[in-house]
Amino acid sequence: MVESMFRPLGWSPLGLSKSLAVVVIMAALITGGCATRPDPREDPEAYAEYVEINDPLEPFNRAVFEFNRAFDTMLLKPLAIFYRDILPPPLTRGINNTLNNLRSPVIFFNDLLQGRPDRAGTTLARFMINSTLGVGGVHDAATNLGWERHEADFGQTLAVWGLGEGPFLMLPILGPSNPRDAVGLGVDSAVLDPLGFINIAVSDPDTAIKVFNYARTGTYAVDRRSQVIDALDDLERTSLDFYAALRSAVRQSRRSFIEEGRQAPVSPTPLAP
Amino acid sequence: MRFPHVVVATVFAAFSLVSLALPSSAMASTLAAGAQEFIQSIADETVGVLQDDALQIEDRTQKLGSLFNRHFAVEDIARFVLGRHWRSASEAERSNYVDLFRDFIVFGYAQRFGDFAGEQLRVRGASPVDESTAIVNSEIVRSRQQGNIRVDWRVVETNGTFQIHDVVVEGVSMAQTQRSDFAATIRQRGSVAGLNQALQQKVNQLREQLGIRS
Repeated sequence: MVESMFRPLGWSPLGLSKSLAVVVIMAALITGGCATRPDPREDPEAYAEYVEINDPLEPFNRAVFEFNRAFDTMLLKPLAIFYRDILPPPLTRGINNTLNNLRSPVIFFNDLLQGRPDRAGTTLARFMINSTLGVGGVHDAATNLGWERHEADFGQTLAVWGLGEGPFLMLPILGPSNPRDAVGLGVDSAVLDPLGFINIAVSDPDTAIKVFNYARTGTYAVDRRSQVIDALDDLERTSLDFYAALRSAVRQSRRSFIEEGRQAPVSPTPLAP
Repeated sequence: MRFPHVVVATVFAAFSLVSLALPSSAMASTLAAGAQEFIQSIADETVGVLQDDALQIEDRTQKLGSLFNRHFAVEDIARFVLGRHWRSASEAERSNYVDLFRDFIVFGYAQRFGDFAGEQLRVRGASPVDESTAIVNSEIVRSRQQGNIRVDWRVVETNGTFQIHDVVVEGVSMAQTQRSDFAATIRQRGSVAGLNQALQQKVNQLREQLGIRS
């Protein structure tokens, strides 16, 4: 399963969950008195559009977006281009596989929480195969054996449980999101991810763990960004208002990802005769 | 021997009933099959244009552009993308907008569309939405590591001719995204005339990037 082209950057903010909480609170504080709400009786269509866009924090979000773009231009994108175009493909493939393998527990728990034992089984099988046969996850042996990878996260789980996304939210560095998925990101990185959990739960974690987590978070960010270089360039090139186009594209992409989680469990198919 | 009219009429009625009842499913599957064939033929045609090494960038863009114009329902898409603002726009603004939208889409997407269809596009199947619309499912085949990209085409049949009304890549609809984009632009610039200005700038910019003189 391909990583969705416009999926928010949403890498695991290991060790960043405190700042995340600050951002969410900040956003909540600024909520009042932004983007004017049209009167539903006077102009029902304008009102419908307002509801659909669902971005009461737009001025704040746009400011954060500008900050993110500066950060992206100066640091993240150059690193992503270096990673994609300069580093030898076998190396980046190994890195990508390792990062994916490290994410397995998060995917596994979310599969279970979504009531998808079939998908959880696949994730578990992949983790066992790749951690052993794949030499600690460097090699994705499971895909070659027919166990295809899928993603899952806690924002998706909350959606499957019936929680709405809430208003659009542009998170600093982390990119386009919404309150539900921002909470999901925090839960994924601090609770469902064993390494992240150790980092948070232990009062004085080992320096090695800390360093490892920072390195992993940074690499994850670059790896994810490298996968959407063309898609984002394309969207920017073919849009008049990049922010508005991105907001729409990310939402649609996210909805389609959530649909994937909502689908009924697939009963194991008998082997073809 | 002559059949009484009643018999003829009954037989005729029975046949029409059969042909009417046979149908919705048979007709729908004909529609879906036709739509699927249509997308496949476009993919083949595009690969032909892209593999023609003799073509200069201008000719290639022009060929892709004409392919695009023929197979995409540009006017219908333009109208959908403008949404509620279509009604408030004047006749002149509308026609100006549709012309600009056509250029915008050709210069902005012809290249990408070429990239899409030029890679290995595997048409997987199609399903009818209503009596004239079908969704054709396809995917761009990439390496196992990269994973395939899901591309769905919204195809509408009018008088036996198929046209594309939307392209949905990994769940992201081109028309829907543009609709949001344009609505935001109209909100900022205050009018459809303002949107047309922005479109004109964009078209010039895209033309320049492609190295095409206007």
